[in-house]
Amino acid sequence: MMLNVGLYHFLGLAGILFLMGMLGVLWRRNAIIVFMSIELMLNAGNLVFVTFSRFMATRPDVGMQGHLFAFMVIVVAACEVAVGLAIIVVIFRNKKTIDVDDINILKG
Amino acid sequence: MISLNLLIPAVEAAVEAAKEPLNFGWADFFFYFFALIAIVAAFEVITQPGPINSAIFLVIAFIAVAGEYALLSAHFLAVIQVLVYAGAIMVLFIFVVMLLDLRPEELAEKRHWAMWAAGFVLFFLVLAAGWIALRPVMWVDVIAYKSDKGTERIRAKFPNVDRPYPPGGRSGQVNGHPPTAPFGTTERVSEILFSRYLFPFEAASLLLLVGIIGVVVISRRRKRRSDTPVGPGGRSGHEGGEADS
Repeated sequence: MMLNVGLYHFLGLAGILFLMGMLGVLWRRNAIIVFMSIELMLNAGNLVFVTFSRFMATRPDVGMQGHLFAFMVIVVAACEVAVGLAIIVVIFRNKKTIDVDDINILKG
Repeated sequence: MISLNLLIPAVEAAVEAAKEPLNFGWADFFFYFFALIAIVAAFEVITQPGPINSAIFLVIAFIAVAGEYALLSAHFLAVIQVLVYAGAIMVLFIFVVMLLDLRPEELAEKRHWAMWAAGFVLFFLVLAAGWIALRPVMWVDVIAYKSDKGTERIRAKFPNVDRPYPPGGRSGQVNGHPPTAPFGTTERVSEILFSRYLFPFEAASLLLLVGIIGVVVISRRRKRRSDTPVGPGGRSGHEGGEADS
């Protein structure tokens, strides 16, 4: 089983996924879907970490730092989703909306 | 016999050359398969009107990305991706969608100016991609990636860019080193995680603890002044001040 698809294929896929996430953040006004788009972008970043780890490793025990980075990103993403969704629930409880254009009390 | 011996390399080369167009293997097929699923699902995530549909497509995108991890020999991360992302985080999303009782006409609202911003960003991304694609042509020579010089440069930067498996292969065996577990397995990840990267690991556990406490503090329902006091501790004094903040 040869892996003919190379570094640039995986990086291109990660770029497209990141672009989708960015479009979601810009385009949607529902805070939950904005959060999902952020998760998509984090996933694209993880894919880049894992790709470079795979193609730059020199030995099976050297060059696995990319996997560690991706692991930490997953941990932080889980934490961030929990806190962010709690904030969304509180905002909805107070303002009866999660439209990110209507939540502007910090605008000054 | 001598002529036959001379023929053997040529025959081997011919056989290799004949194999070349058929080199499109299962790994390539699965790369494009998962990539197509991931891109289509990601597109659906940002275009579906309701958050439940988006959540379902997000699960599909996560599982497809886990397939890409498996193709990159990141077995442990593929499993973690399915367990944590497609399992835990997705349950959290769907739970919150269930808690918030949203009106349907509010869900599908989009920003119309955002398409202009997206087009602007896309323009620069295409520009950057074109520059990266054309850079070897401009700098080295016309067939940089096919020439020996270009290949050597890439191979110096990415040592196993043209190997079907990461170093050690399926067995993890590298000449001159003691036998180890293969690249990307749980054993490899845990060895490095619990030795050199122990401090980040502990910091991550602290972060998760702070996250848990933070979520409880944020989403706790504040008592109104008219409600009965919480307990004998007399905590109700400053809670009235928090209620309208």
